[in-house]
Order: sequence, then C-alpha cells, then structure tokens
Amino acid sequence: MKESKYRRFLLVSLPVPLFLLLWELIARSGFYNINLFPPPTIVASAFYYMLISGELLRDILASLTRVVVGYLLGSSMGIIIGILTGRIKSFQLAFGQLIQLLRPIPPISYVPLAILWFGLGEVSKYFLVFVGVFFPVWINTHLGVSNVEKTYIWAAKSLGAGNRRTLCEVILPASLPFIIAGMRTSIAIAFYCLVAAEIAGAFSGVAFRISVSHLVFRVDKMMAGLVVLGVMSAIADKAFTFFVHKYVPWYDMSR
Amino acid sequence: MIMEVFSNKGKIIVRNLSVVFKGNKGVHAIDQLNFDIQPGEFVCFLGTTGCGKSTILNVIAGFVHPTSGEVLLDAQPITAPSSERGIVFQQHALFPWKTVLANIEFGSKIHEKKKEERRLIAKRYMDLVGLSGFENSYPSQLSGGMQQRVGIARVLANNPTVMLMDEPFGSLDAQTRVIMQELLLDIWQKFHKTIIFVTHDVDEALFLADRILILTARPAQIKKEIKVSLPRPRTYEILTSQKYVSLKKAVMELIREESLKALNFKR
Repeated sequence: MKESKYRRFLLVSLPVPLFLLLWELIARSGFYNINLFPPPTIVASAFYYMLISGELLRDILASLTRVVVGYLLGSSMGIIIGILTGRIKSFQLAFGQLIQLLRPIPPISYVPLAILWFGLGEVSKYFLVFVGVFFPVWINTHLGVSNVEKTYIWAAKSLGAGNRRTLCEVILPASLPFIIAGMRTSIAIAFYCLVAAEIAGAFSGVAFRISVSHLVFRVDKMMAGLVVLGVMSAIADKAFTFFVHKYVPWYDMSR
Repeated sequence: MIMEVFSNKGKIIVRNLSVVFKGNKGVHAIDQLNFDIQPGEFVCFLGTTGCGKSTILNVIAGFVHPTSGEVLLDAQPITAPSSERGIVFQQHALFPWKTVLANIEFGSKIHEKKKEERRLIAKRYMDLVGLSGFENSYPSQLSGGMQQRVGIARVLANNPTVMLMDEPFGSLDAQTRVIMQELLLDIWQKFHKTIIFVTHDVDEALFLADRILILTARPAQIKKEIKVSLPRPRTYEILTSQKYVSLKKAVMELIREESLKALNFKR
C-alpha cells in the first residue's frame, strides 16, 4: 500500500521535470540551432520579459475578451436556436436543413470572409469564435431538448404546468447535461478559432504575438505564447467545470 | 363504507374507449372498453405485460387521446393533463435536478402558492410518507422505495381528486413492496381519493383493491370484474387467510389464460 502510493507519487510528479530536463539538454547539445529550438530556460526568460514589459498582459486581455465575447454570443445563440429547433416542429423543418448544411463547414475556413466582411478589427474575431461555438452548442441543445424523457413532461403537466412552465422548469433543466457537454467542447473550439483569427490578421493577442514573433525569428517568444495559450484554455476548462459543479450539483450525481 | 360519504368527487366513466396507435403497424391497444369508477374507490387493473393497461391510465391522465369513445371525470370530458389527476409513474419520474423538497413543492409552485405555504404543505406530506430529513437530498441519492414515496408525496401535495398509479412498486424488492402497499392503503384511508392502480402482480391487486378489473391480452378489454371483499383495514396478515387464497386462485386462473394467449402458447 505504502509502496504503491510512493510509486504513484513518482509517476505523477516525475514526467514534467524529466521532460523539461531532456528538452534543455537536447536544445543545449548543439544538435540543432539553439535559436530555432530554444531550451525551456530561454523560453522562461522570454516569458519573464514579456510579462514585465506589460506586453503579455495586454495580449492575454485582448485574446480573452475575444474568446469570452464570441463564446457567450455563440453559446447563447446556440441554446436559443437549439430550443426552437428542438421543440417547435415548424422551426425544425424550416431551419434544421439549413443549419445541417452549414454545420460541416470548418469554422476556420470563414477567416478570409470574416476579414472581408468585418475587417481586421474585433468584430471579425468575435464572428469567428461565434461560428465555432454556435454549431456544437446548437446541436447539443437540439438533441437534449428534443430527447427529454416523456415522463418528465407528463409529470409536469399532470402537476398543473402549462407549456411555458414546462419549458423553463423541466425541458431546459432536463437537457442541461447535453447543453453543458456542448458548451464544454466549445471552449477548446473557441480557442482554435481565436488562434486562426489572430494569425490571419490582428494587432494584439497571444496568437498574434506568436505570429509576429515568427517573422523576427523569436522562437522563444513563440513558445512562451504557446504555453500561455495552453494554460488559458486549460484554466477556462477548469473554471467551466468548477461553475458546473457549483451551480448544477445534480449534474455529477446523475451520471 | 362510511368513507364514501366524505367525497363525492372523483367519479370516472369510460364509454366505448378505443385506442389505436398510428404507425406502420397500427397497434390496437384498447378495444371498446367500458367501466365506471366510483368516487373514493380503489380499483386495480390487472393484466399481463403489454396488454395496454398503462395506455388506459395514460388516457385518463390526458397524455394519450382516445381514437374513439369518451372518458369523463365528474361528468367533464378529459382532454388534457390536469392537476386533478395526479400520476405516480413506474420509473418514479422525479426531476433529478430538483431536491426532494423542490420535487414535492413543484405543484404548489406551479399554482403560485406562497413560499411559506408551499413549504408547509411539502413538509406535511414528507412526514406522511416518512421522508423528513431528506429535504435537501437529490432523487438519485435515494433508494427505489424512497423515490416512489417522494413520487406519492409530490402527487398528494397537489391534492388531486384522482390518483393514477402505473405499476409504481414494480421495480421494488418484495419486502419493500409490501411495506409500500401498506403505506398506500394508509394514505388512501386517510384521504379517500379515487385510486386507479395498474399492475401485473396478482397479490398486489388483491391486497390493495376494492375491485379488480382483469384485462385481456391486447387489445385490452375487460375480461372479468372481481370484487375483493376482504375486510379493511388490511395488513400483510390477510395474505395468508383462507379467503385470500381462494380469491387468488380464481384470479390466477383468469390471468394465466391471458398470459398464455399473449405468448401464443398452445398446449
């Protein structure tokens, strides 16, 4: 028992330092150009200078705003349209086909169009994140809302609920697990779209910084940017599950 | 019985009820069904699996529309679900996103009752079904028997005239089932609502009902009506009485005929 705990500790805590050490050694060995493949210590110092110059925080703030605005717009629209197509037959007939046709288009392929339509400003970033987030949230909401167990709806109606109360008190919460799943998948997609949008043309942002650092061969700054993006996306995901756990306590129990 | 003086609401009349489900096969679930249920009566529908007995309940609840015929509650035709006809489902159908208390309060909330009043009503019925202390639990944290007790309390808190019960104890173990049946009889004796109870369990029907309507295999028709003249209040002890055993024998023979028919079993 004690031995296995020790083993577990080693297995969990060793890989990251070992990975960094190996990276450092290879990068410093002269095996490859150190400027193109900088070791973690150099990346860390690049990160430090980006941080104290204030550049990094400005970039993070810019990227974060884009992701949050696009994500909130995309997911709230996805939920609203999902409820409509999932619950109202005529809506499903009218828009179901259309949305199904648009859905398989990879969101990143809208980049040139977004730039033509909305320029290089913030709107085109919001638009791309919106497109990326909307479809998975819509399809999940649609599935959740249209597959609510019949007995829940019957129970509500036989307890006196009308259509509106049934929607708010039963159909929405019953499909919440689906909506949550769609919204969680969309977090990662929102970051993909952000990166595509910023690389295609922007004046600030973490992915923009990676892109301009590439033009001046600052691979250390590029790598620092990658790490920041990874951490941002991971924190967003953790924050999401934290809020779900806090405000939808039955979600974990019902699975 | 004296009880019948208390309530004069909850009379159900069913005339020439037929239900055919649309679809490529067009399942004929109910055929020309006729029966009356008196206010405050406890009636069991007893039938084999898939005979259409749940469909009868769903029509009375207003979930399923008759293909032909009419269903009346206190002389009013039933067209839609309503809180005067509460239902306890086979798979409890409690809202998993609500706590036990919120589930029981659901009906009062829909009827715009004040918070204090809601709480008061809910607590009363939680006490009645012996669930005090579980207010803040979620349904998934309860055992099957407790879940069904919440289901019963949720319906009672809404004060319906008729309680519809769709094999509510079917998934419980035998011991828990008997305890739940006794609890239900207690409740019925207290409130004297009309109860329509669907089951395929002969013992359950005999133990609970004033009257058993035995259904044929699909399409459901009434094969035979049995008056259960066992004394009340009933406890588990009657399960071994002479009278009970002879009644059970008669009912089992009838239901067995239908089971064999349903299975297309010829010997």
